[in-house]
Amino acid sequence: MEENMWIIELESALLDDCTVNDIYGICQGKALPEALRPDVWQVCLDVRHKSDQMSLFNEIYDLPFQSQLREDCQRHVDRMGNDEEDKVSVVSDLESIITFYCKNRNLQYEPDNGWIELLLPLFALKLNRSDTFNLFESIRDTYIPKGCRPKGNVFHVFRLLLLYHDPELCTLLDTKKITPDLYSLTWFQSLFASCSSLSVIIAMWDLYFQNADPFMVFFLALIILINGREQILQMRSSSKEEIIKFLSLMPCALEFDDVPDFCSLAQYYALKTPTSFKTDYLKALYGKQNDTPRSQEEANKVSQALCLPVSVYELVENSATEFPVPDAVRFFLVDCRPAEQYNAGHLSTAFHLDCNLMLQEPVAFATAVQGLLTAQRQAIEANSNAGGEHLCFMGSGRVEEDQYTHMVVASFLQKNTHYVSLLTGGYASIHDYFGDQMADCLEDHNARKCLVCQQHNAQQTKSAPLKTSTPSSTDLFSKFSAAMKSKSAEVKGKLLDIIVNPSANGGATASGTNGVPSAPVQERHVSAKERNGKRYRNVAPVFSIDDENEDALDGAGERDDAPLTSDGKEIVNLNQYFKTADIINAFKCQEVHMSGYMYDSHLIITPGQLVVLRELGRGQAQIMVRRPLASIVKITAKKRHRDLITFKYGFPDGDGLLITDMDRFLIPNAAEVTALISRLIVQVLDDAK
Amino acid sequence: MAKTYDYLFKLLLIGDSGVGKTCILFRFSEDAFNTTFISTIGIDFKIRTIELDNKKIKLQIWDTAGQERFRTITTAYYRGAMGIMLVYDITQEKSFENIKNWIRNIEENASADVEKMLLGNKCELTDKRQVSKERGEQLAIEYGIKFMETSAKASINVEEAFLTLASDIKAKTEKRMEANNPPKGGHQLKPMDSRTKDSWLSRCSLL
Repeated sequence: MEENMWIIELESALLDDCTVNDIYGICQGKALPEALRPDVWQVCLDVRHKSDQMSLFNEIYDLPFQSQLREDCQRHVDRMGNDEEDKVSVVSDLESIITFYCKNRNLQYEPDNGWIELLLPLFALKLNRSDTFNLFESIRDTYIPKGCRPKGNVFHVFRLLLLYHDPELCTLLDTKKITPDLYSLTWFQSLFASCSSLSVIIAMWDLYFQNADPFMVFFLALIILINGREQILQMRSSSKEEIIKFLSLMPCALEFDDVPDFCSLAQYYALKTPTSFKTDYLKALYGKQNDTPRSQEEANKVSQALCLPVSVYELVENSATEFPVPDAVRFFLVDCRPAEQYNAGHLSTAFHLDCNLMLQEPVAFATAVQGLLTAQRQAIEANSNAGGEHLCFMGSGRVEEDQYTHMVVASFLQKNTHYVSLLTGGYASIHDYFGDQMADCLEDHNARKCLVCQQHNAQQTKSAPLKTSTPSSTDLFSKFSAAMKSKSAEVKGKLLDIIVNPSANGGATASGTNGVPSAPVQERHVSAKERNGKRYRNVAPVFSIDDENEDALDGAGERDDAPLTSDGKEIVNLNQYFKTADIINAFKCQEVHMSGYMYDSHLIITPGQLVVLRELGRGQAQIMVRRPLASIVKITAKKRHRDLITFKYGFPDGDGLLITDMDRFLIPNAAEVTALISRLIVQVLDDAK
Repeated sequence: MAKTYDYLFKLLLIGDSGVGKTCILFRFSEDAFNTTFISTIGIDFKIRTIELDNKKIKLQIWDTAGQERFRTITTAYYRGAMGIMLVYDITQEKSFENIKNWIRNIEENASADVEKMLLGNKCELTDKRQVSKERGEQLAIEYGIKFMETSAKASINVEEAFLTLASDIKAKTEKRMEANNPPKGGHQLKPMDSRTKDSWLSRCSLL
């Protein structure tokens, strides 16, 4: 009885106006009861209140390729095990839906474009023709990437993902001239419906639609490949055709029981992948039409990318994240610019690797790379926010010099190093990202020597004060980006330094060898540390780290010392914490997890932040998370439950919002709390302007 | 630090994917051959120092990926190159036809006075030959550049090809240096118009 509670909960949610998130929270990956599936899918695909579009269909079957379509429908349905009578009605519905879809959207049917495969599983729901059409249309719009054709963008993106996670496999396929479209086209066109059994598809789509991530198909496809990597590598000497055939049939081996593992592995890999590519390519892959010159340019960029791109936004935000999810992406930033440019300003988390060294002194360069990898390992062990498994390389953003950066990145890729990415726009983009705060956010910034500054100056003298560096679009966006910048400025004090001591690493590591004295770097080491630094306990003297939990984000920082438990949790004494000067208000509440668990918590509101404390008993509480007020993009209350409040965090993305995270609380008198928070957010944004 | 060489020449290898650019370079730099083919990612390079007329010449040889997807990245390396090896595969007609596209790439992206040379690789595979030696020679004459058939596998002409290209660059460099700093007491040589491309015959007569 107990274990079926969730089904009752799901039923009642479906009767109410529920959303994908509600369903996801209730089901948590459990197998859906067949009777509820049609409703669940309709909610997930947001077609519940869609009108009956098929009623507009004139039932005239006069497409130029009508007979081909009819034949194909017949052929596919013949392969199913249904009764003859059943088949006739399925064939007729199939043909009418596709015919109407073509006419309604002004599209052409082409054999093997995946539409029939995509529709057939929907017939298993036994909905009427119109509802089936709406589901089909929604899946096509939401989940089937645009440009799903040979040499389409989709496959360039997919190749970059494969290169990121399994360079050896990717290179083997490249060598065989097997581009992903040759084997995975039908996977993407039909969300694997073309090559899996019905029960597998249904189970997979259950999870797929609840997960609501259009990029999941990329990771599912990735899992298919990586799962079969040993076999693929053994086919080294087989012909191209043989390998393609083997690859395209791989999903057929999936069985019903594999589906949950398959999907959770995909989610795991998604977690282990930088997310910028999603934001970068979302419009191009899932947007409406995309034949603008700009999208062509984007297409060109992705097809010519050396490795996965990472945006400056992701890089900076990532190093500022205090409580990363275990397994989440953490970057190890490798600054590949010439030493003198590095010394004239760099991000504090950046590790310098002089690219010119590779050409001039290959041996010294190899030593430097060894030093880099050692430092990376140590930074990871020290759990610092400059340490991560994910190598993000950055150049200057200037074509002439970046050829050396590309050469270094290529050398890592050729050694089958995984998790290699490249910062889009290089140093220039970091410089611009911080805008006016740049001088505070960068280490050692020297405006006289900084090439980006020089360039800006040159431009300004040439053309009157035309515009500043930030390309703001809408009013709202500029508000937010300004807030982000000020946040980054605050965070800066907390970013740790990672310094390589050349002498400790065989004399060739950081800068120096190129005839450029490494002294400035050394100085920074000292000055940055003396202020508030504690040396990290278990770390070799190669570099040192600020205690990352020591300062609050807002830098006011006069808070009582927060002792750390062994696993890095921040525990505070509630009474003492409440006396902290900058707390505007604190509310007792309960944090509601996706799982339905509730935790006694306190919501602390400061001028710049929302802090969540979870009670541990005996007057102790753990700081769960600090959310900058500026990152709150949405506050929602449940229709039937006014005190259940959801905060969504993210940033504006074009016309829409990109939600990166959310918290949910049960707060007595929630209206008072949300009013206060809303007021503060407006204040924060105004201040930031 | 004392210079260990008199000249530093930057060379570039271009041509379709799979014609054997990496193998040619591997033969030249390590005098070895690797049968397992792995396509180059983006760009790679090797260094070898040679000696010509008692001058030490350090060759920095850039090996580009032939695949279309790396075109943007590899094109950036044309600019600094002093010599370019255009490689095709004598067993692949298509790779020979594409040489004209590679030449166009050079014209658009490399400096105008870059030394070029055409190589027909895999010449040991006589029974699979699709492009005759004469056609290679003909094409080279058309573009006014030198030509050789090579085999990285059988070690035929690889060393010779690089030495030829290097000595042509050396001759050109020294000629330019002389033009800029005429030896004392000597006659001022009339500077050749270095921007017009010397045809291969005119250069021959000078050498």
